[in-house]
Parts: sequence; C-alpha cells; structure tokens
Amino acid sequence: MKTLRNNWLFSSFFSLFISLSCSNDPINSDLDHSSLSLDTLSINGLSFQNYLVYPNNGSNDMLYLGKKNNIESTAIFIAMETPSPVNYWAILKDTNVIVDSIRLEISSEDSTLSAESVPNLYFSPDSQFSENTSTYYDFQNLSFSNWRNLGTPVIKMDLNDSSNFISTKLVWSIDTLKEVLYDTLDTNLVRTFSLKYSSDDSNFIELFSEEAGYQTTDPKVLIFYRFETSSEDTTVYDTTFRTIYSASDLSILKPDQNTVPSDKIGISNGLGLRAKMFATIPLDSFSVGSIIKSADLIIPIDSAISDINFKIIIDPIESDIQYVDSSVIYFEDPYDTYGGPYRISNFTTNENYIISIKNYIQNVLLQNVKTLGIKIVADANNDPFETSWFDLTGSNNKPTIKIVYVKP
Amino acid sequence: MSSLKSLIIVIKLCTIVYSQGIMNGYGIGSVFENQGSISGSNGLAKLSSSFMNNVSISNPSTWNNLDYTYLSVSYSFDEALLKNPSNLNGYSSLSNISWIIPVKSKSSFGLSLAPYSDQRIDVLSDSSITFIAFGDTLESTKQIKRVGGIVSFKLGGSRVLNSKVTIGTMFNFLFGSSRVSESIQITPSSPVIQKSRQRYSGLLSEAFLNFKINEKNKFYVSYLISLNPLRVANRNKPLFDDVNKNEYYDYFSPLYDFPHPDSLTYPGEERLNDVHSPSSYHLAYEHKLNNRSVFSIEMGSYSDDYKANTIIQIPLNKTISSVNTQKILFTRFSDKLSLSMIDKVTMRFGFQNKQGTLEKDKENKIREIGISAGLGFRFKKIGNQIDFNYYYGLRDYENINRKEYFQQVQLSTSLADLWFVKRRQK
Repeated sequence: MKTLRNNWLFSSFFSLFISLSCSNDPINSDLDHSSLSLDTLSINGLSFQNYLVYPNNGSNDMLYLGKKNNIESTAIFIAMETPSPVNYWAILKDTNVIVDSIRLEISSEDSTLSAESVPNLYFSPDSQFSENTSTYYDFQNLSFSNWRNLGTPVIKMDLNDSSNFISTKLVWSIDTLKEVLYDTLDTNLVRTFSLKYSSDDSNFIELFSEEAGYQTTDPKVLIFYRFETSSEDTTVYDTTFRTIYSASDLSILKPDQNTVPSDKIGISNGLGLRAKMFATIPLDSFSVGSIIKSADLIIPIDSAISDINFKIIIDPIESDIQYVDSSVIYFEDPYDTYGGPYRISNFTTNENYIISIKNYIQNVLLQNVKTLGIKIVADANNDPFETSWFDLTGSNNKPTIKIVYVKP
Repeated sequence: MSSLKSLIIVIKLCTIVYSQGIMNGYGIGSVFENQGSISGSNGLAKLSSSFMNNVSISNPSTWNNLDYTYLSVSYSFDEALLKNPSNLNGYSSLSNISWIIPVKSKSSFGLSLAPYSDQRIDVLSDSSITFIAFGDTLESTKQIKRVGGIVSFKLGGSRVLNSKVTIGTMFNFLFGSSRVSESIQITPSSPVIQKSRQRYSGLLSEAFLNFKINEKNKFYVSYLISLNPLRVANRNKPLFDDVNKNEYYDYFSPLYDFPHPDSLTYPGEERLNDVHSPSSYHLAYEHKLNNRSVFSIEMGSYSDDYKANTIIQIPLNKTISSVNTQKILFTRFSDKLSLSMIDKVTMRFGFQNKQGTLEKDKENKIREIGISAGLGFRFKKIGNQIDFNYYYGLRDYENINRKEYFQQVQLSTSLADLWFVKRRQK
C-alpha cells in the first residue's frame, strides 16, 4: 500500500513537470515607443579628379604588344625560371646528352595570327625587370642594340582530336642561345626575353601570361635532347625533353596624357588613368550608434564611349594628401589606401557603376576610417586597352551615395 | 493499475492548465507578490493563517507558532492565455524556498529565497511599417525581448511581546539581472538588434504585527518600505545587423554580423536609482469558525514610487504604479491528532480582486479577479506537508482592451524536524 502511494506521488510530480512545458508566444502590442527606425540619406555633390600613374600590368592574365584604342604596349618582357630542385638548364652543358633543339613557346587564343602580325624575339642575359613594379618610366630609352635578335616565330595551331582550335603557339628556335642560357661563369644570369615589333606599325597581339593558367599556357622553354643507354651488344638513344616555365612576365604600357580629355573622368589600366572621389559625409545627420543597412555609391557611366563590364575597384584613402597634379604622371600612386576590408570592386553596366560602400560609411561613422576620399582604379584583369568614362554631366542622373540606415 | 489511472488523470488535468504573460512586460516585470499565490502552502493568503493553524509561511509574526523547524520548497507553473489575438505563454520555476526556525514559541528566525519579479517576455509589434527607400518598398516590424528577473533573499524573524501581540520583520534583499533585445526586422533583410543588460540591487523592509483580539479573532498588519529603492546598472550594447540571424552578435563564417565587433567602442555602464521603490500595507482579519476552520479577509495597497527614465527599454512602455487587493479566504486545516486520511488534508479556498494602475494614471487600469483552491496533505507525526494550489483568473487590461486568462499551479513540500536540539546519545 505504501509502495503504491509512493508511486502515485512520484507519478503525479513527474507528470506535472513533463506536461507543463514552457511555451513562449510573442505578444502582439504597439511598439511605437521603440526608437529603432529606418531612415535614408542621399549624398550628392560628389567631386572627382583624374590623375595618372605609370601603369604596371604585371598581374594581368594576358601579355599585350602593339597599339589599340590609342594605347600602346611597347614591349613584352619574359624572365625564365631556374627550376628547382633539378636545374634543367644544366642539360645544355651535360656531356652525357645530346641537345637536339631549344624552343621558346608562347600561346595565344587568336586563331588568325599570321607571319606579318608576329613580333621579334630578343634575348638578354643581363636585362632585369620587376613584374610588380617596372613601368614604362623604367624603359623609356630601351634599346635592343645589345640584345640578341632571334627573329620571328613559327606559328603552330594547337588542335584537339576533333580538329577544334585550342590555341595558337608562337615557337622560336633559340638553339643559338645554348651557351648563354646556362653560363656557369655568369653569376647574375637572368635569362630575359623580350618581344617587340620591328617597326612601329599598327600591329597588335595578345598572348597568355604566366598568370593565365597553371603551366599549360605559360610562356616556356622546351629543351629536346637524346641520351645513350648501352648494353653488351646494343646501344639505344632515348629522346626526351624538359620544360622550363616563365618566372615573371610584363607588358610595358606607355601612358599618354594627350589621349586623356581634360573634361572627362575615366578609369583605364593602359593609360594609367585613376580617379579620386570625394564626398562630404554629413556625420551630424546620423544619430550616434546608427547602423548602415545599405550604402550604394552610384556613378553614371558614359556608355557611348565606355567599355561595359569593366571592373572598377574603390579603396578609401588613408594618406592625407591635399593636392594631386593632373598634369603629372606619377611613378607610383600618390594615395595610400586602407585596402581590405574596404577595398572592393564591381563591374560597370551600360548605365551605372554601383557598388556597396556600407562598410566604409559605417566605419566613417565609427571614426575608424578618415573621410579623405576614395581612390578609384581599374582592376588589373581588365583589358588595359579598355576605358570606362563617368558621365558627370547628366542633370537627372548625378553621382550619388544612397544610404539606408537604422537609427537607435 | 490504480497508479496508472491516477497518472493519466493527473496528466489530463495538467495539460489543460494555463497563467502569466503580459504583466511581465510592465516596469521591472511581474512582481510575484502582486499576482497569484506566493507558494503552494499559502494559497492566496499573505498574512492570515494558511500553512497550518495560526501559521502563514509569508507572515513572520506567525512563525513562532510552528512546532518544528520547517524547510519549505515551492514550485510554480504559470500560464497565460491572451485573447484577440490569441497568445499562450507558460513558464515554470521555483517560487519559494523557506527555512523557518521557531525558538521556544517566543520568537522565530527565517530565511527565504524567492523570485521577486519575472521579466521574461517577447513582444512583437502589432503592425508593420512600410518605408519607401529610394524607390524600394521596405516593410519593418519591431520586437522587444526581455529575459531574466529579480530574486529576493529574505531574512526575517518575530518576537512575542505579550499574549496578544507578536511583531515580526523581514528584510528583503533584491538582486538579479535582465537582458533586453530590441530589434527591427526589415523585409527583405536581416534584423538590426540592440541589446542591453541590467543588473539590479535593492533592499526592502517589511514590518508585521499579529494582534490576537480574542481566541476566535485575529488581526494582522504588514507595512513595507524601500530602504534602498531598486537601483540598476544598465549597459547598452551597440546596435548590430544580425546578418546570420542567430540573435547573437558574432563574427563566424560564412555570414558575418555587421559591423565587425572589433570595430566598435562599447559604451560604459549607466547607473540609475529608484527604478522601483515600492511601499505597501496589508491588513487581514481572521475569524476562527471552529478549531480547524478559519475565515479571513485581507486587503492591501501597493504603490511604486519609481522614477521614470528613458535609458531602460520597458517592453510595454508602462509601469504598474499601484495595486489594490481584496481577498476572501477560507481554510480548513488538518487535524494533527487524527489518523483518518481525510483529517490529514488541509483545504484552502480563496477569491481575489485586484485593481492595478499604470503610470499613475487612474484611467489606465488593470483589473484582475481570480479564485483559488488548494489541498495540503500532512504526513508523519511531526507534520511534514505536501501542498497543491490552483489559481485561475482573468485580467482585463483596459488600456489595450485585451483580456488575459491565467492559471497557476503551485506545488510545495514542507519538511519538519527538530533542529538545534541536543539529543542524548543512546
């Protein structure tokens, strides 16, 4: 009886605990007293200024040579690597093998290349360049008189099994460089090749740079050689080759101030054309603690003279430079910027360049970044011969920053 | 089989139990002593005898009438059903732990730990706001969530002055914390949330008088004042965009809340005084119908002389400034000496009527009526007791024209023993 009573008591308490589970329905009520609210702010009167910087195009997927859209690439430089841990250049001096041929091969996606449209190849064991910093300024007086002229290439079409075009290969024989490509006496051997048209004609060529893909389309040197394997009664010659890829490559783009109209604001890699934008952000208009929900910078594009799908980077300026001379070509960008996470990019459309600068505006409100303006540059992977021009003259479509924010 | 049937009956009873809700959104939350029963062994009574003959757990001036030291634990289930639109809220928690030591029937000492106020509430705006931003239509709704509450640690005692008068006192140390999350949900987008944290402290004191008019009639009085009105240390956290919609301000892949927490300067703590400064008095008259039955009437008046502020977000933007209470109670106690099961049962019935006023505005009323029924079962010779109390009522919020049906189930167990008595070793 006692056990039964205890069971009953235990069951009663236990069932109460499990059956009276908590529930939590939101209660609907008037919350007008909650101060959180949405608001908008439109910032107009954005000012722009163009400036020029000697262009460096080292990180572009393509190499360019020739003139297009009034922008000129005067030369291409390619430096070959020293393979490690096995230095294949040593094959050239290996007495156990017979070097049959040495070829330099550069790929292009242009299936229409002809013998008339290909450049000459030059070689110098001493000429140096930096893929990341060298510009036209460093090679203004470049002369190939001390370079070895290796002439024009043989053009080979690379087709797949279905005879479809894959790429065009420009192949130069560089057998004559056998002695200098592996010169053990030269302590500063750099193996720099250069491409240049023999005359300043209207030719233009696009080639794959080492950034375009992993080895398959890289500029490369191929060393074909034989070596002998002997047994008691037979001697066999095996033929093989080794590939040495480029370490760095660069198109030398010549900036030309004469091609930049003074009444327009544009962005171009080939011209070295950049812009600074300044907007007065009315900090007093925001309540302390406001959160930016969206902040779009909208710049109208002059579609009549601009290339679309042009990728533009914006980066807030950190350095406090008061004045930049538009008539000067700067060796390097005069503005230091914050970079990530404020450095962002987007593509232009036919009508506008729209990019979210929410993070920048928020951190301006938080006083983490200065309001010194925004640097606008073209992404390195844009075609350097393309330009995007802003339309600042439209009466109904002015550059603006549209902000939606929540105020506490 | 009998046990199984009992279990099924209890489950069926429990699953229709409902209490509490919208009161949590006013001021510092729902003050426990202003709603329902204090514990299972009290029923609706505060001052008059309810636990056993001549004893109320919540009235120190009666503690000296206990025969043994008691440890009493009470658990409360509360549910509230709001109508139009329908919202159901339910919570459960410990509602009281008391340890009461009578000293030679002349005085007593007691400790108690109990929730003081419950601040848990989730309020959603009853309409959305349409906002046109640069040609885009945005819909926004607001929400305020509050969790936490205030706990009171009570220290009290009593002293018999003469055969008619016993006085008691209780110090009520208040402490606790709460968190408020205020958000605006913008469709289609992520919510923007502002959080804040409050830490509370305060000290109340309540004096009790037990006046024995004659053998059949008693009169009780209590008066509560704020020695240190409730203070709050409030810390507002920065507003953030809850991009990953997990309601926490975090920065974990793949969706980062905005802005980065490290980019913010966190504001300091603000201290506010007098956010809750209650005072109250209660009067009770108790008439003994016979040796085991009492009839009592209680009335009380509570007022909160709080200082309004704009720093702390109150979910429903109002504070209860006064409550007047009237109670009619009947209790039939168990017979200590009887061996009959029926005689070991204590029965409690009560009716309660309350009128609350919001924001010191007499037109801003909350009316409450409720009935209560409870049972207590006494077991073992020393008087251990299990109590069950059920309270059902209706609140009418005239300010928002809504009605709330609430239910409360209290379960208490009280264990008696002789403490601090030297026993001769066998």
